[in-house]
Amino acid sequence: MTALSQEAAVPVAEGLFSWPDRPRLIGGNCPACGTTTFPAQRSCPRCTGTELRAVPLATTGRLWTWTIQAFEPKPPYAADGPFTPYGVGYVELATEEGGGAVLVESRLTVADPERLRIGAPMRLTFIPLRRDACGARVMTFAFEPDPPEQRSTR
Amino acid sequence: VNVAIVGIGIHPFGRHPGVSGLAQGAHAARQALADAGIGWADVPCAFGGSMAAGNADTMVGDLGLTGLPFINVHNGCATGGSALALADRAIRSGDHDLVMAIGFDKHPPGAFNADPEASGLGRWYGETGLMLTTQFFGMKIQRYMHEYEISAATLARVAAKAFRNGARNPHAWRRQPLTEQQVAESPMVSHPLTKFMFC
Repeated sequence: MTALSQEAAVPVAEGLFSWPDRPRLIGGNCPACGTTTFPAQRSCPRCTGTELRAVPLATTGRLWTWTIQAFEPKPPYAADGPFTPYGVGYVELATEEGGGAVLVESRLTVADPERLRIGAPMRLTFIPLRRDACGARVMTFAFEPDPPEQRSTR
Repeated sequence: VNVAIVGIGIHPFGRHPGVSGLAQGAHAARQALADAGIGWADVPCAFGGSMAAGNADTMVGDLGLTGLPFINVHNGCATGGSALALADRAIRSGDHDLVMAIGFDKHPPGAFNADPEASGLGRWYGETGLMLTTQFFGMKIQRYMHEYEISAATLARVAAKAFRNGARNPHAWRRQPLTEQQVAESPMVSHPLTKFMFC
């Protein structure tokens, strides 16, 4: 049982992404005007419609902007230490069926300015934040360069 | 209707241990009254607020329980400006011929630790380390630089200009001029923004 719980991984929040099978970010799409939101929400920020439906978002997109979080945030930030700087960006994603794009704010797996570029292709992945009281890893979504950069041989 | 600012007051910008934000606001209000040559009892209406240092209307405990309508404003960094805009409209509407507008604040050092749920966001947004204003400004300027071909040297130039101006203002937070190089070489907080590009 101990080994099992060490391997258990749970989403940081319900409704953000499907888990654990075929993990996808879950957006909201407005049938009236085509607007996509992330996270999913009931009302449309463009046309005030209330019929938004939950849709999976594409797993690849392009980096729209980025920064690097250099210092450890205060609570409510809740990740196990020790702190290391992390990348944050907005990634432009369409819905999985090719619907209207949305800018998704996300952790990035890369925290090196030399390896981040606006317009670069990015791919969805998942990273552990901390362990919960049961020992399960608490997971959140993140984006990594796509394709992953060639590892340096040096 | 012509609206004019007839009196102003300010408390020096700074940490000021032991002096509450409200007390600093009341200090500025007294200065403004003296500047205008009037008393608190002559003020028939006020708008004011802070983001994190309390409700402006409780300032009547310091300034006087005159019974005036004192409307609290809570609008982030724009709180003082919003109070001023509302005061202007209260005069233009004919409701009042004199109004006080006041803004003040006081924060612990470092970045804000904002509550995601107060902004309609899930707790996860703060837990995963996305709820930082510094981060937002870094990403915003990164995109702006990309779209308008602005260099990091320009960011340093803008900050150095602000420090030059601060050196001439006795109420400023920082009064030491810094060179563009000092700004650019200060610790990186949220790429491409360094410590002295924030404050």
